[in-house]
Amino acid sequence: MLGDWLRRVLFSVLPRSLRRAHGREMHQLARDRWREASASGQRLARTRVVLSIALDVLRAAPREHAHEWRTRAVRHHRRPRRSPGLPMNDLILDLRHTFRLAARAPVFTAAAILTLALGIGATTAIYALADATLLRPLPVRDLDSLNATRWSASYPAFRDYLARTDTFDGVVAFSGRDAFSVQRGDSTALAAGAYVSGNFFGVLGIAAQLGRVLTPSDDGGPGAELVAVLSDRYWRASCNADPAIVGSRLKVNGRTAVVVGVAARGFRGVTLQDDPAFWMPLSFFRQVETAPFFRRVDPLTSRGMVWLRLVTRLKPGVSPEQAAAVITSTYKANHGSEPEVSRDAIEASEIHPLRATAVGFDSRRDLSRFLLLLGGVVAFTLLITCANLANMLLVRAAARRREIAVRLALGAGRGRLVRQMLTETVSLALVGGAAGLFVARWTIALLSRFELPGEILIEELRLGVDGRSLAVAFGTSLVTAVLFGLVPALQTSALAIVSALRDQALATSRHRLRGALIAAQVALSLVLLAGGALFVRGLERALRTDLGFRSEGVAIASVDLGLARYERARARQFYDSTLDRLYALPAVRTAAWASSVPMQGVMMWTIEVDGFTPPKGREVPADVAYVHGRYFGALGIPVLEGRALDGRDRNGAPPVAVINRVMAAKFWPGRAALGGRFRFDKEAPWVEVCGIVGDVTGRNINEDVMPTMYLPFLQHEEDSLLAEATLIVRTDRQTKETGSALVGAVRGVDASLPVARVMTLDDHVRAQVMPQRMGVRLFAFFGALALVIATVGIYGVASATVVERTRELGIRMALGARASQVVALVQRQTLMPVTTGIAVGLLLAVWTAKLVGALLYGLDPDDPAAFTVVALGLTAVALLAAWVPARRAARVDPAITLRTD
Amino acid sequence: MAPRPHRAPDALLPLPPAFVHILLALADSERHGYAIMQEIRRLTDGDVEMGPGTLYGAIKRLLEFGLIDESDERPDPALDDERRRYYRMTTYGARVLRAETGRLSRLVRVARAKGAVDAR
Repeated sequence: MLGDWLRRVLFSVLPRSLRRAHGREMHQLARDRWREASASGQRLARTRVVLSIALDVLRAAPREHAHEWRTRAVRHHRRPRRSPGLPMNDLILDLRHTFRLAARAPVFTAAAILTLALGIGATTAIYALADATLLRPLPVRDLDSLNATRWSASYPAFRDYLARTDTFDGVVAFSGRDAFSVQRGDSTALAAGAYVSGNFFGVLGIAAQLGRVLTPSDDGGPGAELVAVLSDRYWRASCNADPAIVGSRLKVNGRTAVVVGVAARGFRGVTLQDDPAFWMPLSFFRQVETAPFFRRVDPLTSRGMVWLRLVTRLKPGVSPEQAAAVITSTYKANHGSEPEVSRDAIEASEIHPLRATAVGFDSRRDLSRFLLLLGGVVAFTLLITCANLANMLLVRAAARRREIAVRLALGAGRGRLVRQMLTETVSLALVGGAAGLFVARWTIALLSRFELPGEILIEELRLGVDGRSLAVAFGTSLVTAVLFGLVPALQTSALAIVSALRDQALATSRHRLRGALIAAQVALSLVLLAGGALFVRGLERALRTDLGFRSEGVAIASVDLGLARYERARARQFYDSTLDRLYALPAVRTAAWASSVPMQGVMMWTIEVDGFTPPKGREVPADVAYVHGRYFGALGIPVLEGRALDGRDRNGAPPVAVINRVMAAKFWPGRAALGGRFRFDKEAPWVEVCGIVGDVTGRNINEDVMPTMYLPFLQHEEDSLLAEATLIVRTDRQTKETGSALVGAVRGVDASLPVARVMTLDDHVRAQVMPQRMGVRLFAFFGALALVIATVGIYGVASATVVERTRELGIRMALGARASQVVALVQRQTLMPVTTGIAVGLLLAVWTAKLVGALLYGLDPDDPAAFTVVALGLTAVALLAAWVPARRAARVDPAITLRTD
Repeated sequence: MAPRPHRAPDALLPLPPAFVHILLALADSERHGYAIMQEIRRLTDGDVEMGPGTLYGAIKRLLEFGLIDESDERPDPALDDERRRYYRMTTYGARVLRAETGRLSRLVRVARAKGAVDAR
């Protein structure tokens, strides 16, 4: 919301008479425009309005002031009287003075506004990102009393928890998001939907923007018919935001559903990855789902079918530990007393604050680190900006020493002068802040191409510059202005009048401050640039790494037969039929099914190797991938010894495994691994190593290759057949069309099976280096920014030094100093703070890199080459920036220099 | 504000575009500020979007010149219960507007004679 005070600040640049005559109406108009924009529902409409109003006022201000002057001059034939008692009058005078000064020094003004805009804009954008993910991830009521269970529960268990009103103020259940065929009018499309308990919206505190939300009576109440609530996004994207949608009918998987409402804007479920198109009551699950499995098993009564995730709202005063205990005891009461039950019960009771799980169970840590890094980068940029601005103000203050001295001599109060200078910086900062909003939008557009840890697409968050980020932007600019405008203002106003007028004041303290500011800028820039260099090196390394498999020409797609309630026999047949269908296509060379592809999460097992005892406490687990078909051929992994897995390796045949080189070296050190044996536990049969293949990058491009074994689907049916499986196809032709061939092969066998993550393996690999790519861009962007700002700063200070020492340099040259000596003199003075800055910056950079490297993506902070290059580059730039004004000083004719003043 | 003797309509010409737009918006009906802005937007197919500074700066001067005056203050039934100040064009304002549009149409005539107008 464009706050009242914000408007007042903005309007204060207009003449007082205008504000007095029409101030209330102007506020009214701004509010009307804001309301209009809010109602329009267009993207960024409110931002546009705020910006257009701000720009309008800023544009109108000089015109209106000029008009004011003219009319007053005409009316009274004299300049306006100054009434010392009214600070508002002073403000107008100060502002007027500011406008005149700004117009007189356009380069300074533009540079100051630009640096401010860049710094403030970037801060605003990052704030918006943090706000959308960490601060206010979900628009639910009282987010902090909500908790999510980590593991799924059955419907009867959900009812049991629901009865525990002593612990919970509410428990809601919802199914995972799934694809449905949705028919609206004549068109049918696939859309994601979720089943939710009838109290879902009520407990979360989500209202409808149109119609109503689901209520408990929709969920299995007497005579209830199938109803659905649409998400705002689906309503806008697929129904043209048609209000007549309420009351209309859809067919979901062929079942008629009445649309009763559209959920509040911005609500997308309880995680940021979720984005269902619609929600339906749980009790209709069996009628909507088509799989034959549900004709036999009723998910509403089966305790074995765990398919619901729960969100609980704890009663005030109930701790998460107490809630966990209640869940454990309820679970045990449900499942009897077998030994596994209590382990399961403890698992079931794992609950986390919803605020944390909204960004994904395992990604919050990564995400906050990532945002911390981003925030750090931005804070550095902002600091550099501020240092630079302060420096510019100092330089400028020095240049205005005479003006100030004259005003002091004529009796202007010190407070009055400080106020005048503060008005100048605050005006600068406000204009810079307004321009920063544009920068914020660009930065958001830049960010929108990336993905956050936890597979959150930044674009999907639909970041905008809203009232809060506006407040942050203007708050930052005001703080910046006051902090960095105050020092030069106080310093200047403390001038000794006489010496200033005689232009002999060598304000050493000011020089020291300037030097310190330059040093700070250089140090911070160096950190950013070094960060950029490290990310570039990381990316380079990542892209250069031999992944151990060939991704070009390969497409992948995933299914989960377990979720689709397959039986083992049917699953076996499914995997074979899809492969047969694919081999029938001329372009397909090799195809396989696997439990995972490289660079994806995998399972790990500890094993017992025949004839090898690992040192105590140093047992190494091995990664496991279940494969079916010609996996190694499809991924281009070389078989080094023995043979690949094939059709012989089925249930009943001797158990075999193919292992990678790392596993062979680790578990059979100094021995032949081929023909070696291992087993999973004492009871399990021995598994023989029948082949050794090349190493493949495992989970993460930066991690070491793990010992890995490949096991045939058909010898581990209980683990492989009914879990997520990925189809891998290598083709001759481009892989873009292969995706549809993959889906076609799956659909040809089972038309109703949802297919997920259809992509090329190249894209899959690229997604794994996303953090590095994003890091490179970010650091490159902000590093370049910092470099430009710092260069401008160094140049400005060197120039100012030359101007201040003109007389001295002239005398030196008159006494026979050579031009090169003068250049060296000036450069020495500028380079002192630069070298200090570089030294400090290097220390800071090494320290930061260690921190960042430990936190993120396995960057290698130990990269002296990167640091050296950056330090040298920065020194060179600084030398150049100081050389230009020094050169100018040396060229000046001493006679002229001495005559000035 | 004390009424001032009106100058000849021609003395104010040419009018700034903001004046012309506001006068045109008030030509057929009295309106409050927001309604003026909306009407201008409608008349110009959304090309001209007046912010508070421009709009009320112009209104203030239009009032000073006597081209418009305030009719009364009342809530807009369509918007809210907030009281709004309504403005209307004075007869002097209508004369000035007519003088300005006359000037503009003469200008267009000349332009057309010289072939500087898009034939549409």
